[in-house]
Amino acid sequence: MRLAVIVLVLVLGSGHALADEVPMKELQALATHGSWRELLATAIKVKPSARDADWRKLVVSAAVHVVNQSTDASSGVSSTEELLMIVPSAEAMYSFLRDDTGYLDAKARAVQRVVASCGEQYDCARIVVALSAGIQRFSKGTAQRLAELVDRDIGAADALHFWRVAVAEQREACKEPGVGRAVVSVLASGAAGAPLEEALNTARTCLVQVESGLLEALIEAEDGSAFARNACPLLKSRPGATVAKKKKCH
Amino acid sequence: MKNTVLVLMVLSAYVTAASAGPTADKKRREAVDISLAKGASEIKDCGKTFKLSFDWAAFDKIDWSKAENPKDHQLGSEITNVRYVGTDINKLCEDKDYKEPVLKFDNIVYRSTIEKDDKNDSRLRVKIEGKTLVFENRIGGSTRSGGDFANAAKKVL
Repeated sequence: MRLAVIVLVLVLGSGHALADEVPMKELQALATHGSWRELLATAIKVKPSARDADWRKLVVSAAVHVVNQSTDASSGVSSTEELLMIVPSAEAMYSFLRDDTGYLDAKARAVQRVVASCGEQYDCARIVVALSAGIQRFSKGTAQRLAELVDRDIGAADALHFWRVAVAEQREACKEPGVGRAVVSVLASGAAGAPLEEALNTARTCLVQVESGLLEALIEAEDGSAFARNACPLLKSRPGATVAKKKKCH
Repeated sequence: MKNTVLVLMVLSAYVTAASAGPTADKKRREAVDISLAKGASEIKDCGKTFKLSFDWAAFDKIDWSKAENPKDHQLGSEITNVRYVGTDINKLCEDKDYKEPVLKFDNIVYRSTIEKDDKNDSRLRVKIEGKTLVFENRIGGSTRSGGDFANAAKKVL
């Protein structure tokens, strides 16, 4: 089993290892035998022109099975480690996985199982962050618990994704102090792309609650800083032409 | 005669005991006002005089059964809390950006509250009520220190 994982990781990490093209029939046979890890490692060898909807379906199915198997009741720490080796590589190879609701839901359940089973000796927060990319929903109340865990063990910025999911689930979560901390932290970090978008969206949703923290950070921020650049459009839309806004929001 | 003295002593002891609460309360309130005035005496860079006051009316309306601290304990904390109101007003006047907005006020009020604000989780909030700058400090948490009032005021000035 361990060897299979190493082989899978090597294959997933090898980029375009298309030397030996594999026909769809072979993938279907692997699915019939429940050889999901092997299927996930082999599917990339199907020539691009043959990668149709059925191919995609098989890859998603394999990924869901691998995620479920790695975190079922009988799995231990080694399975979680395997998951950490497989999931990021597989998602890099098959980017459509992060758009598949079924896969993301399976991954969300896996994250919840991992958190439930990892004790004090394991770095739960880092596992959660590594596995949670793309997940947009968890079971009720889970996102907030994960946000608090990540905020405490890693930092406010890393918790933002979970706060955003928690806020989407229940607007009341805007009142949690961690939300403002996470937003400020990401806006000040100079992050771009998805993390910045998540921070801005969360700030817009919870603007009334996070405004005080944003103003506080703006007072401290350097003129022309990443924070001022990111937060000013939000703060200028709010009443009150304060000195800090006039000085730092050009 | 001996009996009369004894009765008087007992009566005196009774009266003293009965008035210990209100007297202690009064002394603490005076100490709060003195502490606030001490801070006010440090306002030297604004070029005007402000009326600084502790909102005792609001303090007396607090439902202490819902407060995080007992009333007596809070009175003790307020002596420390209000000490920095004047100091921080002066600090704002030292900053050329904040001096002008501060000068628009005539009154500075410190008010204790137990009310939470869903929109602002800070324990120290600042409100503008006409020509009055109000510092609302939610009971509980740490006592205030230098810089707290200036930082809070900057959010609205």
